[in-house]
Amino acid sequence: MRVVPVHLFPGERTSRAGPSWSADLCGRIFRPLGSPAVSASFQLRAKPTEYTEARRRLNAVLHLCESCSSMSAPRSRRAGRVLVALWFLVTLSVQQTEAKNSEDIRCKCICPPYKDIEGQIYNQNVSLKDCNCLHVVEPMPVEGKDVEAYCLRCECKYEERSSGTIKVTIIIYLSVLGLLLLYMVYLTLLEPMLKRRLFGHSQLIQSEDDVGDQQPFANAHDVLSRSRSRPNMLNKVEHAQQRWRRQVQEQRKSVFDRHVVLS
Amino acid sequence: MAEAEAISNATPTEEMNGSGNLMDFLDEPIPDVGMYEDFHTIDWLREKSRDTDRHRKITSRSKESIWEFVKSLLDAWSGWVVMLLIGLLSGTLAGVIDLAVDWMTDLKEGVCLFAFWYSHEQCCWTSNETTFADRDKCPQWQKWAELMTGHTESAGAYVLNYFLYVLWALFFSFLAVSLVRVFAPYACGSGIPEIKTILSGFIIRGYLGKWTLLVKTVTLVLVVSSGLSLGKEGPLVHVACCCGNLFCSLFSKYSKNEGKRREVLSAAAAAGVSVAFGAPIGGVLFSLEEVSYYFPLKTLWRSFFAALVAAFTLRSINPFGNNRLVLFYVEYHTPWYMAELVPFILLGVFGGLWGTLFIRGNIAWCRRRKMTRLGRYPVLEVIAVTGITAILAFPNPYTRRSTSQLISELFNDCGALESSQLCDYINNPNMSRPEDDIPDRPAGPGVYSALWQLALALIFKMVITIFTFGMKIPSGLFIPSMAVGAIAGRIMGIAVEQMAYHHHDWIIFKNWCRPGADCVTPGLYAMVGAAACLGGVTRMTVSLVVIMFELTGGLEYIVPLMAAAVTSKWVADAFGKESIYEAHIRLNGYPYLDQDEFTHRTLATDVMRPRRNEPPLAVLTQDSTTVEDVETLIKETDYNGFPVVVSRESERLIGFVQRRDLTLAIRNARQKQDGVVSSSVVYFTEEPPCLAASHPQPLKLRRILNLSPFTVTDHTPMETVVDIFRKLGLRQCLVTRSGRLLGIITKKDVLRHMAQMTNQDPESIMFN
Repeated sequence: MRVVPVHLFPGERTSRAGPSWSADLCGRIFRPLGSPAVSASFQLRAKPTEYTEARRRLNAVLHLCESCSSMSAPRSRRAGRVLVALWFLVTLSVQQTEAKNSEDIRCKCICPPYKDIEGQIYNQNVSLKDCNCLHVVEPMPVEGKDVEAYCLRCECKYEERSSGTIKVTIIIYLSVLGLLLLYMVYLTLLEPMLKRRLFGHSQLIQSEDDVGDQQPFANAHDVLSRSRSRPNMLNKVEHAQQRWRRQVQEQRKSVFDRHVVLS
Repeated sequence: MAEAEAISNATPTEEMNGSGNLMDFLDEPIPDVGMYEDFHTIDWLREKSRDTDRHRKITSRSKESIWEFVKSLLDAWSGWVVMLLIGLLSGTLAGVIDLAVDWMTDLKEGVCLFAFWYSHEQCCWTSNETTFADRDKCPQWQKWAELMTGHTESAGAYVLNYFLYVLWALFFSFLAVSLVRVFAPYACGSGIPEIKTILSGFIIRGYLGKWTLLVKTVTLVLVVSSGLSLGKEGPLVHVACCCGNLFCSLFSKYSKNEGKRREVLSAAAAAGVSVAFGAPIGGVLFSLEEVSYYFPLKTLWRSFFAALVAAFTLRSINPFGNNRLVLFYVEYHTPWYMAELVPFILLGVFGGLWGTLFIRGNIAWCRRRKMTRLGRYPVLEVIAVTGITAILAFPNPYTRRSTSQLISELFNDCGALESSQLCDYINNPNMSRPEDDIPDRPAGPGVYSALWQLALALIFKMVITIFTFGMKIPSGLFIPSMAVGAIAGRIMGIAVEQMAYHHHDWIIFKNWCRPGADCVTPGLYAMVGAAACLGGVTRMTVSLVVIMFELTGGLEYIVPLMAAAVTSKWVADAFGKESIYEAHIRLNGYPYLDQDEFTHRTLATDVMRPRRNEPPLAVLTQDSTTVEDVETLIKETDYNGFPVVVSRESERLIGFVQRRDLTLAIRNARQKQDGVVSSSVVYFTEEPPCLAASHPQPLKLRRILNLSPFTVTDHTPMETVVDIFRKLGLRQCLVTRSGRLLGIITKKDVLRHMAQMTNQDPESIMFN
């Protein structure tokens, strides 16, 4: 979502965006992606528009704005896009099919009370160049000559967001949190129970051995020989897990019990 | 064999350079030699000379073949690649944290019906049902009470919402503290004191590990959304440093050299602040001013690059939807007047006092936690503080929302269409058109009720932050400090504004505040107050001003910010020199040498070990110690290194050998080298003498010997010794008199001596 405050400059509007051209643009934008039905005459007429639209779709996928107001250098913008592309690869979320255009841009106009008309908020999804009071405020509550006075008081903001990123991020975050919680429950509740049932006392003896191995010589020696005797993958994982656990236990002791670090 | 060829390239000077050990390629290097144990101090000189050696080796090899040349190029570029990766990952993580916090904070109040992953604002994004009076209400977003009972405005609904708010807060913080406890205890706290210590050359294994990264990121979201009075900025620095450490392990240049690794970590800290505040230059300066110890120019450029990449990545994710990197970005261009410097300086005084109060209170509380039974109940403590925070925060609208949102509202100037209570001014009915600069107006009832709510929020934040910072969850103090300052600043801003409005004729207002002019911007006062309070707590000055200036994008406010930051530092320094981070470093007894001058007239001989009545120094001789002797020495003492002398009679110094290297080398020899038994003689000389067949095989250990240990004479003033330790990053220094070894000074001895000289308990220095 991006915000570009748009003020109404009556003179500028006519010169920049003629009504017919912007209508074409709008018609193309809201067509569903990948629809083949495009009339020939339209295609002929709208070659540049199509190009713009392709760019627009790219930008929508990369959820970057087309006319960035704050970033001046085009090169840095490209770098930004590459980064976003990477971020998408990371999150495995190239959702091309989602119709972003309809949902992810909006133009919101806040109009204060005027004469006897109450304050009102108007919200429409139109493109940046149509984001002004004249296009968004529909139906216009005032007549003819009051339109300009009314519109001058309104504040219109163009905003863009990426609903896909929000959705994917929240879902990934929740699944990571869920996995961590499951693993925590497993480690703290289930595993001690299972072990007690399976091994009985032998596990306790072994863990005492582990504690005894803290001297510099014995410990590393032990680790080396153990890893050599059982080279298969599963044991390696288990071995790494054991080592990690011992580290965490050390950390827990120094942080929570002895209070030597991080207090 | 490549190694054999390298010998021929090695010039004789290399042997003399630093630790000559790496130059001896006669047999394969022992694994792990040259690494450090947990909680030990690194030797910067040794790391630096090892890197020089490595670099020289690569350069000489690169002339041999194209492949080696390419490899040398890759090596030269690896620093920039690491920076790029750090920037990408820390920017992404910051984006994820921002988005998730946004959603989870709102989850405490309600849920979006059609898509649960939307926060309140996102949920009502497309809605057309919002009205001018209730701008943030839409039918898609439902509060919990509305969802459960169907009522919105009854007392029962309020109580139910209150109850669920507290319950969610407790749930989040309980999850956070249990995750920290089970998976990564090192993930708690802000992390900046520890990173400062690590960057000064200390090893805390696992502190920047993968699990710490994962758990800190996940729990940071939980604790920030639970509404506790803490921020994500400090922990983000820790997260970025974890990213730095993660990517260091990809390149042996950084993973095997602790000194080089710290250069990367300095840059990563810059990237962390860059994404936390959206201030890349401020981040670089923060790293330089606050956290880094060794910061060469090369690191400066790399930090800049990392900060830039991180900021761009976050910017492309655009988590707040305002095309800015932080929620509380503001942009105004109203001018300020010279007379306003007086209230700005007063805010600076307030910031300094708050900084002192916070540091004293927080350290006292943390000491109590460390020393007494309180520290045994970390989970209960977190739950209790969260409960109190949530119960007290809900009734006040300024504490109920997230602290960043509060700061954002306080920073913002009242526009014409602002709906906030703070902007409830009495409008002039015949005002023609609301413009950007609205003239000063009398305050309406909303402003007055907002004022006392803010005053309550100020007291609440001040008290609860002291107890929150330092709990066993990720917690930063930038945001709470800024909130305290912003509240105080806004209150003062409104006071000045109303005074100016009602008393145009006073002599101070006469010159700059005519009726109908917009002369006081309360939002600017909030910003100055935030800078002052942050400065009082952290004692930053330059980086703070730059961060604030990047937040506002207006150059014209640099003078007010500077005035407030400097005043706050002066006032706070008058009550105590330490920043909150240094105070925590001292509380934990980390071996950190700060940059203050040492002015006492003591000599090296007063500090060195052994003292007068202590047993003599444990030394090794170059050619008469047996393996068994060495092993007993290692077993019976706990020194971290041993000087090597020519013989016990002459005591002329040859070099210094680390305990860890010695242990590893002997174990390795016993396993792999045939003929090395307990009675084998250990040789530190260049060529062991030829022995008769009856003698056991000798053990040559010259390559683990540091031939250029740093030495001072016994009459060197401690001032100089402290300076040497600080500037060169030594771990130990040997004391000699006319070539004879007298004793040793370690970093710990220096720190203990300094503590003693300033009348502190020397035993508080815990680590080696």
